[in-house]
Amino acid sequence: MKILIVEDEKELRDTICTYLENEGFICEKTAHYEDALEKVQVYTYDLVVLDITLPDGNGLNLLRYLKNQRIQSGVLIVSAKDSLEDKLTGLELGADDYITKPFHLAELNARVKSIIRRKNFDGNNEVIFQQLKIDISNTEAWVNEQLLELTRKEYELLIYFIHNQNRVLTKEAIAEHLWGDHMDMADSFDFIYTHIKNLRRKIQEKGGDNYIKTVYGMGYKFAAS
Amino acid sequence: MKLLTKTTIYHLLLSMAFFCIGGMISYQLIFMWIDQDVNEYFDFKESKIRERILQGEEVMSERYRAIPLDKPLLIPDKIIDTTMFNGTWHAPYKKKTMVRVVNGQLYHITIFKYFDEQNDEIEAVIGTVYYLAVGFLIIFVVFNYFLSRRIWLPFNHTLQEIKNFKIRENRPLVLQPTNIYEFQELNRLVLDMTGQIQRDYNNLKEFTENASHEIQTPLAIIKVKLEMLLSTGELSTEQSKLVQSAYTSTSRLSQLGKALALITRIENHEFEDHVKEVNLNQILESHLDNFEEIIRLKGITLETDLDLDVSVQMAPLLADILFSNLIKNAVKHNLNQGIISLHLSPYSFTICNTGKPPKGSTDLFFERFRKDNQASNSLGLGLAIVKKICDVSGFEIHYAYENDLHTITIRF
Repeated sequence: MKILIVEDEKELRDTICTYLENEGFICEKTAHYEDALEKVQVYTYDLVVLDITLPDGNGLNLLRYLKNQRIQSGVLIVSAKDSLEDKLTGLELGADDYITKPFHLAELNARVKSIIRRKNFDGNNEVIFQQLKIDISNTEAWVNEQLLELTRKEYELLIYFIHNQNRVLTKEAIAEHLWGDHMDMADSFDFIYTHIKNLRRKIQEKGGDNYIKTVYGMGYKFAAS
Repeated sequence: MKLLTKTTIYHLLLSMAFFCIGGMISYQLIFMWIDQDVNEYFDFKESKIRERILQGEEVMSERYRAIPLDKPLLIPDKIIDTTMFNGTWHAPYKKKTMVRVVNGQLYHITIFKYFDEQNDEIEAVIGTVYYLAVGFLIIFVVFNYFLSRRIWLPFNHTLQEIKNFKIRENRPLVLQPTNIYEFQELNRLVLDMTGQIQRDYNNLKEFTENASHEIQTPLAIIKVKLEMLLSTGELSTEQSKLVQSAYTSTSRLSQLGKALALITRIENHEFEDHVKEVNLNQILESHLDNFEEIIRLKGITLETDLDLDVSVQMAPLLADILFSNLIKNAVKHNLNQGIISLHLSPYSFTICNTGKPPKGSTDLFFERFRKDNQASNSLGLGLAIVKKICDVSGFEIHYAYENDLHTITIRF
């Protein structure tokens, strides 16, 4: 899987790149609009992580170019502007998703993965993790071939963990993923705890292992037992 | 009161006083002249009578008579008003009686003068003055009215422009050129002032946008770096606590920046152009959906009484934030096993929830950073944002704590 990261801030660009490379993606990065344009013309990327404000151009123009040329890459827009107009324009132009700075890397990662999954597995969209099987198109999860009765948030949480295996997920990142920007994080920690407890219990009831580990003082980690 | 009305009233009062005094003076003058005239007539007649007595004629007629007196009688000259029956009516006369010595003989002389002509004169003069005054006043008022309207035209135009001035539109005022010095001065000042306001506003807006925008990138970097640090897995518990704490504060800072930037944008009426019909049922349902599980986890009973298809005119993003904040608030500050009740009608929205009773005054309920518990982790901006959204959308918002329920009512 090849990803192009178009981001003018060097630190951010490098960090995103390292993070996604650790997830097993092949990453290329650039800070310039012209450079990015050249790259998408020459190479094929599964996904472009696109910052809207670039020093030499507007990221939305690159998006327009991709769509006009019918290039099949997925596009994830990254913007520091929390403006609905940008978001709507981006999505109208055919971007697959939109994320606002500052984001959690785990969130970026989850979104990258779900875009790639949507792009590559039309119809047959299954993820298997040890005893777990998740049918993404039907939003169903199975343990040892037994259907898990999950609430919507529990399901979202499970997918989020699946997308960020072996990583410490902070409570803030989880809260923001589940309830969006609007939730004050401190208030939601109790709820996260409850959701995780329930999710764990439901998996273990069907004979699954405890994949969700509590990392003391930091958050949670989803890993093979 | 309009300036025009006011000046007209003053002008009218002044002219009326002028005409009253003028009228009185001319009235007095006319009387003086008439008196003089009458006296001259009497003097003339008196000298005629003297001549006739000297010629030995008997002076005795309807209009004058001279009666010789046997003994001396001293009475002063006297002029009185009287009437005389002239066959058809009692005509007004002036009568002068006097005692004179002619040729060594005393005579009691009486002279009458028909006076009606003089009365006519007085009436004519007074009438002329009266009609002149009235005519002048009418012409004055009408003329003044039209003239002033013409003169004040550029001023009214300037007023209209100021009234229509919208700071967000970034359109300079277009003022009517005028040759009146005061208005030129006014227009110049208004143009300078609005230009300055516009520039300041734009600078401030730009600064706010830039500040909130530029701050998010470094925050994003700090955040991802800390996240990387956390996921290395080589930190001691003590170290990871430190990192976690820095991470939490960073998240908080970025939320704070976003919330303040949002308030500024609302205050700058930046969402006014996006106002359209918004279906509140859909928005409410999506947020209730989002909080559904938390509501259930807290054991909260949710009572809803929602009219169907309620729409209001407002910016969709603001509607979203408004209801999300209200519902979040009701969930967050609720008690376990508490109650949330929602009521939506085409005219109002009410949200009630159980919770700890408010400490102190509830007047500052919608103030920024107003928290009952200062140590709590919430930003304290949620309700300030709610209030601002209601203000710019033209809604009325009211908070009350009644029957152990926190009640927020919004009237559309």
